[in-house]
Amino acid sequence: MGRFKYLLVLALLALCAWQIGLDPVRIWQGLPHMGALLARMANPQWDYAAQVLETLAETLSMAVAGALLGTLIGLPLAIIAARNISPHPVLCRLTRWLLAGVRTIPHVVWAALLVTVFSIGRGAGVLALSITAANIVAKLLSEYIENLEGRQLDALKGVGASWGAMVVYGVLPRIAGRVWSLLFFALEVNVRAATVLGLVGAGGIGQLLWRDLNFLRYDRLATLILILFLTVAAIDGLSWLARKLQNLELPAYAFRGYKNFRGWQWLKLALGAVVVALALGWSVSLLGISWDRFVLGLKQGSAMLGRMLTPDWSYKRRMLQGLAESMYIALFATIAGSLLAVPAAFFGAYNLWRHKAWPVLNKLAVNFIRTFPPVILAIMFFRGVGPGPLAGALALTIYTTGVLGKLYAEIVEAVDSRGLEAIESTGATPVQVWVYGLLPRVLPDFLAASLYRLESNVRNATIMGIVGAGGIGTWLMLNLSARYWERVGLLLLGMIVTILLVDAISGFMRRRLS
Amino acid sequence: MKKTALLLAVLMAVTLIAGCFGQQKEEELVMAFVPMKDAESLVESVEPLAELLSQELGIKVKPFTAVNYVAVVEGLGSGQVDFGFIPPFSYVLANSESNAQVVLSALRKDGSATYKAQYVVGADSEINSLEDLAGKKIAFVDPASTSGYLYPAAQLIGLGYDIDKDFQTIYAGGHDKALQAVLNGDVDMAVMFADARQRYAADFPAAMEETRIIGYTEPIPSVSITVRGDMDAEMSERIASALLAIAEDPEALAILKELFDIHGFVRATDKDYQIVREVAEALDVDLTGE
Repeated sequence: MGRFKYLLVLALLALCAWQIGLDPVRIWQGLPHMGALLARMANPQWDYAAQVLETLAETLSMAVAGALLGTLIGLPLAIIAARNISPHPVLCRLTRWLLAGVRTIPHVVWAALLVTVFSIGRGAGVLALSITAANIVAKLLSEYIENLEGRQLDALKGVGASWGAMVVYGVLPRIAGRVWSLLFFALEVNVRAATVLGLVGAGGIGQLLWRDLNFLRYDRLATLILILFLTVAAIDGLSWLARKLQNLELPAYAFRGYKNFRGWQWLKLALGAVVVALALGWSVSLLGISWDRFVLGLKQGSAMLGRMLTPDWSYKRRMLQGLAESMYIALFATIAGSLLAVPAAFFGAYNLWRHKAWPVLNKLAVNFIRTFPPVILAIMFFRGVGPGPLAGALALTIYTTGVLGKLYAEIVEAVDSRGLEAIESTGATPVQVWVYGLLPRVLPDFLAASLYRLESNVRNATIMGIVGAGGIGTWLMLNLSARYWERVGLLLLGMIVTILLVDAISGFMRRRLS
Repeated sequence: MKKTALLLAVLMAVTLIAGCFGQQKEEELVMAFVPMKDAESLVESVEPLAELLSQELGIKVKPFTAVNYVAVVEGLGSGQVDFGFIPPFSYVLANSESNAQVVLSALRKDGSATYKAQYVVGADSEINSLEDLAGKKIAFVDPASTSGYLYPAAQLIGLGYDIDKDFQTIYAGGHDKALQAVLNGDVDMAVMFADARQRYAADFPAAMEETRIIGYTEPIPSVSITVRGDMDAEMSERIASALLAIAEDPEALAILKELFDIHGFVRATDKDYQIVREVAEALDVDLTGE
């Protein structure tokens, strides 16, 4: 049975390889070109850095505004969507469906849609980031609320508290810390996402990046990506620090008397309200969309939506073809990336090496790989293998190796090392220790991580076409720019159904694993 | 251990064989193009054109739909694309990167092999000439667009502006979107080919009344038909004469007009595009190649 399963996976990999046109000769012949490209990139332009930093500030403010707006929108949605506190079961169900549907559409696609309505520029970008951030916050927070200890809520209900009172006294105080950490999580996600939004005209550093790519200035591109790498690392660090800070709470005994304590509580509340209001005002001003312009956008947008809701079914052949290609790209990248991530994790796990320099170096490399957004990597592969699904699949494979290499290494690090030492003491080589002692224990966790990756790779594969790297995104982009909304509607419908289906299947398999 | 090694070996073999199977192709030529952003009848209609060209050439011609010109330029460089319909700036880049060669220029509706870009403002704007643009919000089409960025940007630099400092610049992502941005008041001025307002009359019927033109660029060489750098002279000559021949065929010409607004071809050489190179160099584009 076990071997049969592996053969099945291999057959799947071979099928995908065939479908995306994997040609070893072509890749081999492309290698010198790729090498020349990398050599050009190894020459970062420092005088260009000043210009990058200026635009980076805009991108960062977009990410912050998107995280703030998203958190503010996500908070009430989370309360409505949480089964144990939702004001009405029907409303709860509807909200959950809405969130699940919205979640399937990648942020670049949101940005591309919003750009046609609210014009090019950072406004559409901030809105797109807010939508995805709100969704993340609403999903994670509603799960958190559902897992809250229920007795306190029951007690409040028992004394006849209204729904509002239950939310204000029973829920909000207990989720405040969680909201704070989700805000920073959304910020991390946004900074990564904001880099590619410029590709579809939604402002920020992506606009510079797009110009460099179009001028084939790969040396400047390298500078830009290096700066992005450092920024993402800094944001991750800041986010970690901020989450630590939330635990800094003055204990009740630090106050002289109850009155002082209440005063402190009110002061905190008032300060919080002022901060939230200021943040909201700043975010909205950053949108740069006046009320009249917003109304005009809504009018144009509803006309667009109306046409999207009457999909052009005669286009379904192209849709299915595009979806199949996206699926091949996603499956190939997930399987090949998982296989490549195993050695990466082996070299990157702290507990397997006496000299820590080795895993540290490896972790740095893996993190660096993850900085390249897959669509940008795909364009770099154009140099070696030409535009098309192969470039997309190879790019996504490398990105997947980066992400899974990190996750796998963390899984290995969580393994109790005593069993390994026992095997080692019998004189086993490191490879034998790995194969007999470690792999059997970590395999289920590896598989679960890979299935998670598959879900997000399917999303990534649908947007590869935005730069011309295959899949359904190609047709989505072409019809978006042609304003063919009936076809855009059909393509989005196909994407939503496919992604929901893949999520459901992968979720089912993950539950079977655990 | 052995089993794992065996498994890996099988995996490699299967992947390799599968890959080779997919690539056993007969001789064919890949023709790349980027659909005109406004074409209602998009990609499907290019199949008949490829069909006609295949008959003329006696070699199968496979159309490749690219989403942007970077893809075509890199495709020509990597050998995945044999020839393509690319705008002047993309040609200059492809030439410097991989020695791709222009064989034909497209003819415009008026029979010339050049066109212009125009500067468009709102009808009630206080901007009356290119001298009034300091500090304004302006829209270009796309950094890779010859008429929508390169020529106008070079002209503005020639007038003494610093593109990055003197304007709030956005890239609209299409000539139609640039026009839409002016109409919606999102920018003070937008550049686009002349006259995009007529081309997009169906989408923006009020454009002629609600906007006016404050200037034009110098004439720009029109769309090029470019072959990859390592193609032998005989083959590139065959492609050129086949295209010239089918432009005489009314059926093929109708498709060319509808899809690319191409009304015929004329033979061209690299010299015809030298002017574009000079403009690009004014914009700090690296044309030194690998």
